[in-house]
Amino acid sequence: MATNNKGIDESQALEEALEPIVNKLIDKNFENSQEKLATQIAPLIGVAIKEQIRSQKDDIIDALYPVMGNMISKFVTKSLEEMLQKINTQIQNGLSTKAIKRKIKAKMKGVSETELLLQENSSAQIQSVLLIHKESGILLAKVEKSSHGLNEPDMLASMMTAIRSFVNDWIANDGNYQELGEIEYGGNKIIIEASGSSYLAVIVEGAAYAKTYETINEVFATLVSRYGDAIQAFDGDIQNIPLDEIKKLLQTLLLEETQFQEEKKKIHPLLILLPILLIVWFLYSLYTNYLDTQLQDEVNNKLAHTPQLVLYKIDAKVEDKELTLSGNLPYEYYKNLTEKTLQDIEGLESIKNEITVVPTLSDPMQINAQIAYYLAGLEVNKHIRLYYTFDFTTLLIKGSVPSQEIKKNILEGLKKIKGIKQLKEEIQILPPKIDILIYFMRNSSKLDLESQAKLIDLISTLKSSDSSFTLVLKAYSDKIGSKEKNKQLAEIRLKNIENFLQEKGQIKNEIKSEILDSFFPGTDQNNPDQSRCIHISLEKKKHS
Amino acid sequence: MISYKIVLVGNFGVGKTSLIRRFVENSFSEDYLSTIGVSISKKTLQNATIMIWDIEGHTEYKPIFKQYLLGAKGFILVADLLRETTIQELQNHLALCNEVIQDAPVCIALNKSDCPHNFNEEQVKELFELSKNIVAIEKTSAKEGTQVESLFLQLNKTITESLS
Repeated sequence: MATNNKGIDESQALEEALEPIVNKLIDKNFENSQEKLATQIAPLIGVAIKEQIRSQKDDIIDALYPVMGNMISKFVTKSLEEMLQKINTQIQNGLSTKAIKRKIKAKMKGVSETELLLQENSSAQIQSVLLIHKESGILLAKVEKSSHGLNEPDMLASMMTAIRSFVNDWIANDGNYQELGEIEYGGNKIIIEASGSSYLAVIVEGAAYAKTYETINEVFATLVSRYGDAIQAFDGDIQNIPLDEIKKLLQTLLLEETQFQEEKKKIHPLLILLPILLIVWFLYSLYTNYLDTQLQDEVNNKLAHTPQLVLYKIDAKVEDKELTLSGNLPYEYYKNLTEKTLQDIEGLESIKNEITVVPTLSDPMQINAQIAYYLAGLEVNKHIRLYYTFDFTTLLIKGSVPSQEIKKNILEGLKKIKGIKQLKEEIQILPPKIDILIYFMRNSSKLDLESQAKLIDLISTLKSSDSSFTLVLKAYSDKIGSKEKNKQLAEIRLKNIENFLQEKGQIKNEIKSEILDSFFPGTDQNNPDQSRCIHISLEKKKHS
Repeated sequence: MISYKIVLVGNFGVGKTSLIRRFVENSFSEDYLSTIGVSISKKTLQNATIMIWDIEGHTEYKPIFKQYLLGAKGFILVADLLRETTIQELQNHLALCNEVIQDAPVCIALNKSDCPHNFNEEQVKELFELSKNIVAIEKTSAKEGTQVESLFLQLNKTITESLS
């Protein structure tokens, strides 16, 4: 036990003695070899964190949240803002008509949209063209727009050559043979197009695009093929070079561009837009017109199928889906009815009810009925034959009546019907149709009762007719007995009738008598009773 | 109208730019500005337009950029009378020029003649031996204008005569 205690005491004492030294050593070691420690601990940290997360997930989350949360929210906000901005610009660029046009144009022309965008934003113009001897940098020819004269073109040519030489040499180290293509400065650029012994420096204002390069290339190719030899042989004397021809050729570059500009000017966007707008407008008006026609048909149809309104002249006009009603109606109720009937029509946007209520205006149906009743009443007199048409304003009455007086009365009667605005008549005065046969006994001239009744009837007809008509009496014979005897009998019979009419009716009509030694037409010859008669008719006096 | 290119070749600081300035503008500046890359001047004479290329001076570490010599009708090699090495380098420059443009006429300007020096005529003659292309050798002073114009004009004469 003692040994054991001693052992414990010793190790405790040793621990106490060593502790300050060891601690100090550890501290020192930490200070001196932080890097070494870091590399040693590093692999452990990963494992430690993993373990910690697995066992103390919530603690880790709580510890990291204030840092990570803010960081994440900041990052997400920023990303969202950026995305929004991107979307905005894309929408702005993508949805404008200009952009759509550009897209179509790009597809049609087969060039990139970006290039067209550049083209839109800048009008490229070739300002100057320099033809430069490749090696010496001597300016061989120069054309320029009068407004953009170059300052010291010789210097520019030499300097360009120096720059070109430098760049080309520098690039050549790469192993590939490449050339300086263009130099940009501000909104301008110098396009360089080189051949064996010379090169073109084309100064372009604004961004150049595919067409510009194409043109430059074409012109320079022509130039080299025509005058390449002369340029190659250039020794310093510019007179040995066909300068005029070269300048003329180069001038086409400037012209080309001007023409392009003019062409652009010619087709002003408005000029393209105008016909399109016109066509659109035309189609639109056709469409609305079609709609209006449809609506108009429906309106008319509805009006025609509303019994109360059929008789009135209502003016319904559809224009731009707006219905305007006008006309006269007798009652407020009808006005409202019209509107109510039509407002259910689909597609009609509004109804302008300009119908005026005219209380004095009678119901045309009633007017019509009144006319009909009136005329029906007149037809008790079988000699009155009248027809009428009434279009709700004008009454046209046609037919015949037996006397002027009756006509006058009828017209006066019609005038009393309210609502007829205009009265037109084509009434003729015609003799009533009279077709009376008076029969006599054999060898007698006496008027029997039946005949007298017929004559009384005739008198009343004559009384209600114009007295200017002529009464025509025709005496027929039974051809029994002598002709002379028959004629005497006929004369007496005629006289008897005339006397009867005068006596009973005091008629004023002219009487024309005729004695015919024949049977009454169409009678049976074996029945002389039927032929022994006097025929009475009424004729209009012939104006001779 | 004749138009051609000449190039001034020489070590840095020999006074190429000053010579050109004297010839073109008839002026001089004491300030030294090292030419970077190339600077180009134009001189219009009665019978010709000269494009004068002033290229970056040659140093030990930076050889002359051959491309700049292309297409030249003549060269002016410049050396500094006060710096022996620049004169010695003339031989290399001559070789380079002949390599790029065979048999192009060359004038040599021994510059800074206004300063005291001990380069004698014998040595000038020796220089002539370096190449058959040498047209003239002059001791020039860009500062005072001595022999500058005449050197340029001699080269011009040779070139224009060869062209016509």
